[in-house]
Order: sequence, then C-alpha cells, then structure tokens
Amino acid sequence: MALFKKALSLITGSPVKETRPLKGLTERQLIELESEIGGTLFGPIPAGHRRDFFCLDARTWVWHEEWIDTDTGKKRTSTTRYEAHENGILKAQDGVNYRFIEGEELTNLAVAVRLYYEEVMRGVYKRDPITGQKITEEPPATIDTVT
Amino acid sequence: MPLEDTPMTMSATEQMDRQSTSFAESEEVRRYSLQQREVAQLEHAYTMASRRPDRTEHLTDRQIEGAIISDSAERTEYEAGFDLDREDPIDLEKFTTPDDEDVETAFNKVHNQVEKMDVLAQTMLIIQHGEYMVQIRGVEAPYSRI
Repeated sequence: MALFKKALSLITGSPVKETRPLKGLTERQLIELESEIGGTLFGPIPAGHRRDFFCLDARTWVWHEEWIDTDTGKKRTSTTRYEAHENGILKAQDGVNYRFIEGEELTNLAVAVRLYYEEVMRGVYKRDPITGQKITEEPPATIDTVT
Repeated sequence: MPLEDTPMTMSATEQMDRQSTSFAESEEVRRYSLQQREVAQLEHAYTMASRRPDRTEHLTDRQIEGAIISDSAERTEYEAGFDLDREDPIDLEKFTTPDDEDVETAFNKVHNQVEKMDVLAQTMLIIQHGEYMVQIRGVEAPYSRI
C-alpha cells in the first residue's frame, strides 16, 4: 500500500499525505516528550552525552545522564532524584546519597522546574502556562464585526 | 551534582538577606503560610482543570474506546516501573523543541523571579508545578494526537 502511494505521488506530482490517527499517549510517552525539552534547559549537551530532566510524578523530579567514559570506553550513567517535601527538597543521587538541598542548588532547581513547566506547557501540550488555555495557531474562522 | 554546575550567581548580600528573612520567621508563621499557599494552589489547580475543553465531543465512540484501551494497557506497563532504557522511542517527527533564544529569555525571566523567593516558597513552587504536570498528563493522555 505504501508503495502504491509513492507511485501515485510520483505520477501525480503531489506529495504523499500521511494521515495520523488519534493515538492514546501513555503517561510514559508524555514524560519522554517532556524530557526532550527538559534536557535542553541547562545549555548544550556535551557530545556523546544523553541528558533527561523530567517531572516523574507530583513530587519527584529526575535528572538522568548517560555518557561513554573516554578512558574505559564503558557506558556511565548518573541518576539524581529530587523529591519535593513540604519542608524542603530531598536529593537522592544514584540511590545512595540523601540530603536536603539548599542555597544556589535549590535556586537552580526551582528555576529549572519553573522553566520546564512553562516550556513543556507550550511545547508539548500547546497551552498557555499561566491560563491553561489552548494556544491556537490558526486564526479564527469568523471575525466578529461591530455594526 | 549537575545543578551545582549550572552557571548562576547570587550575591553574598542577597544570600544573607534571604537567610535572615527565613530565620526571622517563627515556626507558626511558616505553618500558617504553608496552609494558605496550599489552599491557593488547590483552588488554582481546580480552576485550571475546569477550564479545559472536553475533546471527547470531537471524537467518535470507536476512537474514544480505542484510546482508552490503549492507554490502560500501556499504563500497566508503566506502573511496573519507569524504564529509562527506551527500546521503543516514540515518533518525534512532528515534535519541535523551543529554540535557544526562547529558552534563554525565559530562563533569565524566571531566574530573576525565583531569586527573590525564600526557601519555603521555592519548595512550594516545585511541588506546585509537579502537581500541575501530573494533572495535565491525566487530561491529555487519552486523546492526544502525535
């Protein structure tokens, strides 16, 4: 069928139009989309690195980084979880070190979280981050005129 | 420690001001402030959720049924544990990330606002935005188009 469409496209000169059906996105897939933006919030990602930064659930933010160790050639990973409690943000790095963050690190996380929210609302959900209203890219079909 | 490496600065005076402000607050003041913020957050979250359009009116029954079945089946897989090894990356063909200039502008704007907050306010900000993201996912997940 795909071959037929391509052949028809070559004959008629019009590009193949792919219809994308409505698809149910899982929470995990939405997180992956969010992380595409989250990973870009802290500047350029070094070559050979993969960075994820995302909101896992209502109280947990995750920073995950993967890279190849240039000395050993082995894959290295680092996962940091920031758990939001009402009295502070608990940081758990690679499931070993636990401590409440403060000072500049807390400020940086707060900035990242807010920026993540604003960019993800616009980039993934196409909504205004303040009002929650859908961002319309097309002009309205009719314009009300005052007579 | 990635966030510690992020190039942001705060003057010593600002740090001292912020610390002295937080030290001056009694525990009772903190608790009262926290309660007030929680109430305001819940009210705001409820208002945001109630504003959203109901997309189901634009779908056929079959599409709705298919989306719900698909979502519930895969949600079970997700609930078993978040898998960071993506063997089935989703199609990002039509997904665009914001350009660098937009991110930098937003970053500076937000950074200036957050620097003025105390520690408790920053914490509440993080909790608030986490709750919103989960809420938005719950609304969007079954009927999104990609």
